[in-house]
Amino acid sequence: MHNRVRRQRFSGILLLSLTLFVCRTLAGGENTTGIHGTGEGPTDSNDEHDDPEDGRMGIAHGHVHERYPVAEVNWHHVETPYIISLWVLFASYAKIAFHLTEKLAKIFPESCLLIILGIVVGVIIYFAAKDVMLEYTLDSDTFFLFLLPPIVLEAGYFMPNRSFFDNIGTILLYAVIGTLFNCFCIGASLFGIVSLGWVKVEMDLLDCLVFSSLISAVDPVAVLAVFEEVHVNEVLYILVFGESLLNDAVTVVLYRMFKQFASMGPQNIQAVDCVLGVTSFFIIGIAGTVVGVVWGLLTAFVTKFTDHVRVIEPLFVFVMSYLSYLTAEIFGFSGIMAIVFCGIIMKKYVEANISQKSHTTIKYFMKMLSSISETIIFMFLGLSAVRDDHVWDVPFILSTLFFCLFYRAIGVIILTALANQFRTIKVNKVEQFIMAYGGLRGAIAFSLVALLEAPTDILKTRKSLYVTTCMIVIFFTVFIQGMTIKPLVDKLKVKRSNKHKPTMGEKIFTRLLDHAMAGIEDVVGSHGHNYWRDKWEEIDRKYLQPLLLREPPEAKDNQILQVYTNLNIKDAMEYVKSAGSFNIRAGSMANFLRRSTSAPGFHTNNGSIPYNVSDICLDMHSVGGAGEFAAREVDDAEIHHVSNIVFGSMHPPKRKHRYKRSMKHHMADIEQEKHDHLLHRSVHLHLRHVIKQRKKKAKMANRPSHHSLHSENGKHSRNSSHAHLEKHQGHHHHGKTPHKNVSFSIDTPSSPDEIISQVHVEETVKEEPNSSDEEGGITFEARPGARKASDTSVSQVERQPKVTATALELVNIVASSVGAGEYNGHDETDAPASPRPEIEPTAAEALLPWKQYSEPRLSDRAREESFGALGTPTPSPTGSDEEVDAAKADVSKADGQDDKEGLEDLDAPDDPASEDKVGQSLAQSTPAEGHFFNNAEDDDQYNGDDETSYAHPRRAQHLGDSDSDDDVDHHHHHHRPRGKRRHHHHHHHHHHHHRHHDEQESDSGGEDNPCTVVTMTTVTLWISMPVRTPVILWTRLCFLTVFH
Amino acid sequence: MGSRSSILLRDEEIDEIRKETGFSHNQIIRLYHRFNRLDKGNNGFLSREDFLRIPELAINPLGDRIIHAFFGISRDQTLNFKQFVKVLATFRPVQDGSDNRLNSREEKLKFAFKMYDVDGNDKISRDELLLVLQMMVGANISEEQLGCIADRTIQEADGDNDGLISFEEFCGAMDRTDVEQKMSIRFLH
Repeated sequence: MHNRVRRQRFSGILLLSLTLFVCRTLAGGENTTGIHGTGEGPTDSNDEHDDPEDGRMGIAHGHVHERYPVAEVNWHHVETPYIISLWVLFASYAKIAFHLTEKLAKIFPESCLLIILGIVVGVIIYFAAKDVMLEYTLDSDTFFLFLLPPIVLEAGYFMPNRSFFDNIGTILLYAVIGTLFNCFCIGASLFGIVSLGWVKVEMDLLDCLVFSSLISAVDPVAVLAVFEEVHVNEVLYILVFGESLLNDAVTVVLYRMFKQFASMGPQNIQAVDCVLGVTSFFIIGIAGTVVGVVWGLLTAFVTKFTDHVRVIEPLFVFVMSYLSYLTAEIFGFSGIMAIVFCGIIMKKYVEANISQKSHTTIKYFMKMLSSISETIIFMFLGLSAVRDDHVWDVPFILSTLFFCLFYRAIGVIILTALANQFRTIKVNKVEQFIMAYGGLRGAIAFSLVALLEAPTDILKTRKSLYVTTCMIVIFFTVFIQGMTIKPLVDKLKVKRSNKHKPTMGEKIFTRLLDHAMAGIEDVVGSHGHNYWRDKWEEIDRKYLQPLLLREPPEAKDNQILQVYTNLNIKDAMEYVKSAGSFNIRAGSMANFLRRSTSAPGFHTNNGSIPYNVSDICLDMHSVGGAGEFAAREVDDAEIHHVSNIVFGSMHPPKRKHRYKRSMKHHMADIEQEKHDHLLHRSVHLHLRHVIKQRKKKAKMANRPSHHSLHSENGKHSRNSSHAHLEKHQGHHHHGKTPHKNVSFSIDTPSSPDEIISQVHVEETVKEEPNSSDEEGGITFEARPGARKASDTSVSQVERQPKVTATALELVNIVASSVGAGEYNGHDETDAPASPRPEIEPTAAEALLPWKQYSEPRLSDRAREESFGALGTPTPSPTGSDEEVDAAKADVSKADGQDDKEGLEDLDAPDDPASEDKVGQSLAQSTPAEGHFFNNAEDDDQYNGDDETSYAHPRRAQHLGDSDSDDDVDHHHHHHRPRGKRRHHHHHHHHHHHHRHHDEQESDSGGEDNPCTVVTMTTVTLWISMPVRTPVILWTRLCFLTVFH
Repeated sequence: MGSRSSILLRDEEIDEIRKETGFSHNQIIRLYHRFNRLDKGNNGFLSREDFLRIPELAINPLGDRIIHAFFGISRDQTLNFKQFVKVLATFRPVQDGSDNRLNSREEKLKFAFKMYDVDGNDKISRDELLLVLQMMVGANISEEQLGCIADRTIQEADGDNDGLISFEEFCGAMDRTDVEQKMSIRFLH
């Protein structure tokens, strides 16, 4: 591969050179039509004037000689943008190539490779087309106007604000004093060398100072390029990098001042000029910062109103920060400081205002721009090195290099000693070394050199010497230091950055500490940075946020919440990665939903239903058969589709009901909603996990009893199970039917096999009572129609001989999923989902759990207890009661001892913090989130066997390492193990059933029997909700995370 | 004023405190000034009220918890100078070499832990966590969200699954946090 890549790169270079050569030939050899660098700088005005003329001439030419040009060559017309594009393209290729060559990338920082590449290309061009060579150098205007801003903007925007401001004092010390020190020392020392007569080129002190002013500044681009690959700790990084950014003001001032002085002549300089120079330093630096802050705040303010034009949100960020740079440049302020502070300031508010997508766009676009700018800069640095007019004055060059390194080291040591007096955390020796060593010079210096005017021959020679020296210094620092800094960091055991997403506890802890340390400082009476941070946050909270944020700085903006959401997203991603089956089902679900939603006769045409169902079965089958399938691939399109359908159709009711209690969520903005939903889903997810853990023990102990029921041989007679079911139903008057729900719903077994096995479970009706026993409580079926349906289906299945029962089994599957669907639907939406026209709300709805969920939950426990006291199996408002109830009922059927155990476990709090009984895990959540809780619990129940995969990812991880299935077997719901067993025993059956399903699909057309009604209902319900929990959740999370 | 305070504080006492806490002589005197300034009643000890009179601390969302943690070491409701300095010594920056028990990572974490631990049973319960969370974020986050966050936090740290965070679990959870840096403040010399 290595070779291939190299060949690739080489051919790329050849190709490019060839292209350029051809271009030049085409251009007819005019000497002015090329570009300087990327050729857009204002100084290229001559070229730009020429170009259109050439173009026009070409066209005119064509017209004179031919009647009508079938095709014409309009090279001049496109020349400039074309060449620029080619360069960008080429640079990008180079970047790809470098990362393909692992060996190279390990030794060299990317910047080195790009410079080398630039040199190589330069040499090729030099020999191929020497006359154009000069045009391909790094042009100062291009650099400062187009290449530098993106890099600096990115630096500012993604600046680790906290450490930046925590260390601002030290950074400024290095940036201002350090740069001044370097400049004057290097300048003076160089003059010393010159005075000694070692240097042939003539220059005075001011000339030396001009040069030292530009060579002394550490370059942000170079530092960024190298330090990004060396992951030193954040403080060290911010010290070096912050310095390189903030020294711009100093550099600009010194450079300008000395240049001015040099042109004025030393004899004309008065003290007042120096004073003015010092003043201008403050003006340039501070005004630059102010300009940046103002533009940053403006940007934030503008994005407050972009909620209807999301598309252009990123534009504001880019254009306005660029304008801040340009504005600062107009007045000669420090553009770099302006754009850095613009980025720093705007980020927080902008991010709170804009949509997630815009945020992603900004992030990527910014990174892309800066990356490509950087690439071009380094390449052109390399290119620029190939030139004729180098002046090799070795003593000057070497002494410059030496002084740069020497004074950098001295400066760092002195200043660190100074800074350490005031720093809480001292900069240690090793860090000082790395700081000194990391003082890389770069393209800014080169561009400044290139800006020097050289009207006379002497000046030209001098400039050439400067250019050469500058090149050497840059190359030395970038190559030698850049390459060795990584091994050095390893060797010296510099504290590395441990970049990780903070855990919840860490985030809260950090926040706590901020307050605590500010408080301690108050106690001590000293105002350290904790105090100022506290003050700033107060101002921010009181004035800025209300002004700049679209919504009051509530949940969305809160960092803690953000962390929480991020963590959940991460978990979700991990889960999706570890349990690839989700994607498949998402895919099949997409098909399913698409078909079902697009089929107009869906609700009345029974034929379509089996089709859909079997389709899913087939999907599952294929999953089972194909094993891995393409499971790991996230099918964005599919997921997107699902999410569109599901979110589109299902959110409205949810919004209406779920958010009744939290008014602040009343936002029409979908993006906003996405965010909120995300949170809620995470919450949901999380709670499920909590509950599950809580229940685990109970379940484990409980399991044997159920287990015995199921596993005895799985051959409970239909009658007995039916009796069981009916008995259970007896408990639940009020028109409620316990629905079993081995969820056929998409909710997630951790492996495809399990889905299949689940289907089998459902197909064998006799087993259902068991589970309905356990779960009946939760599945309150409020709709008489639906209840009848499931009853019918059950009884029908019972009447059917097993072999021919497939259709009915199918119905039953669906019917059973009604429960899940129904319930899930309500869980998710807290309201009947839309596509369920045939179901009328009944009076029983008043008793529906989810209806009550929308009420304050404080009384839940009391209610539960009162129900318990009544000792009636009345439907209680929470699924948890039901569960206890159901568990008892179930237990009564099972072996006494087991029962006892189970009950004990159910009743015994396995957690001191939890209150009593299983359902009391509610106590874990605040009353208000009871519905989440129930939600989770219900899902738990319904998707019992899906637990591992579906449930909390952390759990999935926990369980799923090697043997999630088995583990689950041991830990979880009864039907899970059963399902598994089924799977093993009846795998072959599956194929059967598929066939049957297919047959049914073809011939189950128009009969209007109970089955079809049931099927209709169920499927409708199922569509409306079932999948919702998992699929929506995961799709959303996938979505967000994929782009995150 | 300075002379008055330093007279009250005998050299032997300063020496003793210096050895124990690692503060320099000047720092101790400085802190003693501060102590006297806070001690409105000139009682020779600080009460909670004295702390609450510090304006910034009074508006600090966690001011109450900070004071609570401050008083953690003295069971009675007062804090004499030695105790005061001892608590503050916790926040001395950790220096290489000069290793002092009072400002170790563990001591720092202990202070933070005490801020959470309202009832002083050496465990952070969900309710305690929730309380701190509520103080910190105010009304920004809804109750239910906070609840979830608290759950998640406990879940992360809870090694023995008892739903409580013990000090060991707490330390474990903060393993990756640069406590030494974050819990240090600069004492003027």
